[in-house]
Amino acid sequence: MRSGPLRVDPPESGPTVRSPVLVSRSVAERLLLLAVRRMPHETGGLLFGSEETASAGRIGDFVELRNIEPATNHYRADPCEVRDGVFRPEGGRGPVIGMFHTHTRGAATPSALDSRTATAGYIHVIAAVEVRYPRIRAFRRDVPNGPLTELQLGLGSQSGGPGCPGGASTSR
Amino acid sequence: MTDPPKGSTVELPPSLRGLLDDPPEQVRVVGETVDEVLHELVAQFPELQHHVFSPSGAIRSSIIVLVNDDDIRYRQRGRTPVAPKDRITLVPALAGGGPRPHLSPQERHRYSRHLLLPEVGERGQLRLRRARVLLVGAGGLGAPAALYLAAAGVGTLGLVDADVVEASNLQRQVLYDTASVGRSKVGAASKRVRSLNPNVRVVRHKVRLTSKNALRILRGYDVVLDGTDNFPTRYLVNDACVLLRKPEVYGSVYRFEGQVSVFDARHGPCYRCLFPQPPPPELVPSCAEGGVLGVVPGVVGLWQATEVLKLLLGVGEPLVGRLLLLDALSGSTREVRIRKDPHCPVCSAHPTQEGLIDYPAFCGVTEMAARVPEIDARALAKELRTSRPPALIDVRETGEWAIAHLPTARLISRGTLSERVGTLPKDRSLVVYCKSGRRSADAVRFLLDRGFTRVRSLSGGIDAWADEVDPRMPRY
Repeated sequence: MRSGPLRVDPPESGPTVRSPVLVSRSVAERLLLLAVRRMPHETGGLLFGSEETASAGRIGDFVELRNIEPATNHYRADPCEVRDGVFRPEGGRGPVIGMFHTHTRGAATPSALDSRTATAGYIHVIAAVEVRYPRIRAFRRDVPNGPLTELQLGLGSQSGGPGCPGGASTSR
Repeated sequence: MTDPPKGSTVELPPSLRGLLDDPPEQVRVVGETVDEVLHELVAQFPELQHHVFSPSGAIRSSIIVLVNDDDIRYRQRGRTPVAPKDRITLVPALAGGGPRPHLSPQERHRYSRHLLLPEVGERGQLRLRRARVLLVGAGGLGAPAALYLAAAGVGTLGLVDADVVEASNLQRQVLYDTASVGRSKVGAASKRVRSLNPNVRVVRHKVRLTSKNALRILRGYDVVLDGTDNFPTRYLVNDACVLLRKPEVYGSVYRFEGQVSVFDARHGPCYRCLFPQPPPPELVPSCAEGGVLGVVPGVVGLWQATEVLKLLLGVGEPLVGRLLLLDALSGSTREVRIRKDPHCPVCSAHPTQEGLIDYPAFCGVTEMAARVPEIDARALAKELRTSRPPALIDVRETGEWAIAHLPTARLISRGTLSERVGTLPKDRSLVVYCKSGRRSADAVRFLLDRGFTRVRSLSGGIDAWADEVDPRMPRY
């Protein structure tokens, strides 16, 4: 992945929750770098941060969890690691507010599996790297069986402040 | 004194606790199976019903249930028994994936005969499309294998070969045509493969495989097909595959015979378990020296391709621990069992060699060439024009002699030299030649050991003569 300025795109078509998810530039870049490093395998993990009334949440950090899925185009976290991350987060990371996983093929769009397994109430971030330029998009389902709607992703500074709303991506 | 609380402990994640007015971190629920416990849980907390169970009553796929450390999907799912001391944890599923790969309509049509086979089907065809196979050598074995692996839909084919196509290759190397002569093999091969199946990605490695580049090149592939024609490269490929824990599909041919096996040190022996030491170089003539019936490498290369496909698809019994011997003249095959050598220097539990080595030296190739006196082709041409020219001894086979030989030379093939050594003059200068200088070097050593002092080997053999002295001489 070439280093370069993070690009901001508007969310793609579909219903969008107006309240943005805030993510710092460094977290977004580290997330994409991790996705590139794990190629051709997918990876994923937990997103830590805070839920705020003014936004859908602020992603302050993430942790990668072991992929137990042998196929390169799937990610399935070790459930024991999910449990430990959810119930016993290390180092004052704050609560788990969501999950992320990467797509090694295709766009940062939820696949049928993503839609089926996305747990209600969490932010679900997808990082796609084998596209024209790496891209991160965020989604959330509010209730079981509800639609998985895209969230605006606000790209903030190093300290996590909000930036322009839209999908965060870097050029490569 | 109060009784301890009854039932199993259920841990609720924050996402579910947030749905409750007065959320406890843990709940005690009575039940003998996971299903019973969870139904009792939602009876106590109806707000959780739709988050834990789908409308059909099944546990939602967005929830994973752990009983202690066990995922119930790998036990008896909802019927998994629970005991009062067990800790049941509900965790959000964390799974996903890119779009499920599928075959295009064109691919379905192209591979329809594969899709009809239950052992392949769409799932297997997708595995082939994802697969990366490296062919070391794009010659007699690699050529037919490359064609059929490409036709079968193997997604990535790597080709390692530094040679150019020669007219003498066309008798068996069916990847190439007459117009390919003089072109690099990997270039001509990739063009042919792409015209056969444009879905295949061909990676060209126009290099000789060496100890310096082998691990880097092999690392990017799932299976290695050994189509080499010399022992140093064969040992190199074996050792690199052992170090990288990759399966190697081995094949070799000589005249009317062939061998095939699969070496995978994780599950069986490696090539060194079969042949711990290389044979003396002079005893292993190549196809160029010994000849080969053109279809034999075709048969062996396709058998290798079959083994590659079996490995990629995970079907059948690969030739691991078995050496298949084919004899075209008798029309027979037989199988020899190979055992893993507990003292193998590379694949045993306690290997004595942990990296790649100098394989030409290991196989004695460089050592042999360095030890005998030689004369080059131009110098020999000059000596032959003098009043006391050296006597020429051709140690090749009759068929090679019939294609081309030097004027005034005498044919004494290497195999008959010991019987006819007494007919050679010790008081005259002798120059021994073969095709490339390998067999003649061995013959010179033989003669030196028997008291001949004025004997030299033609370096580069009759090939060098054709290159440097007589370009009209037929090549083979």
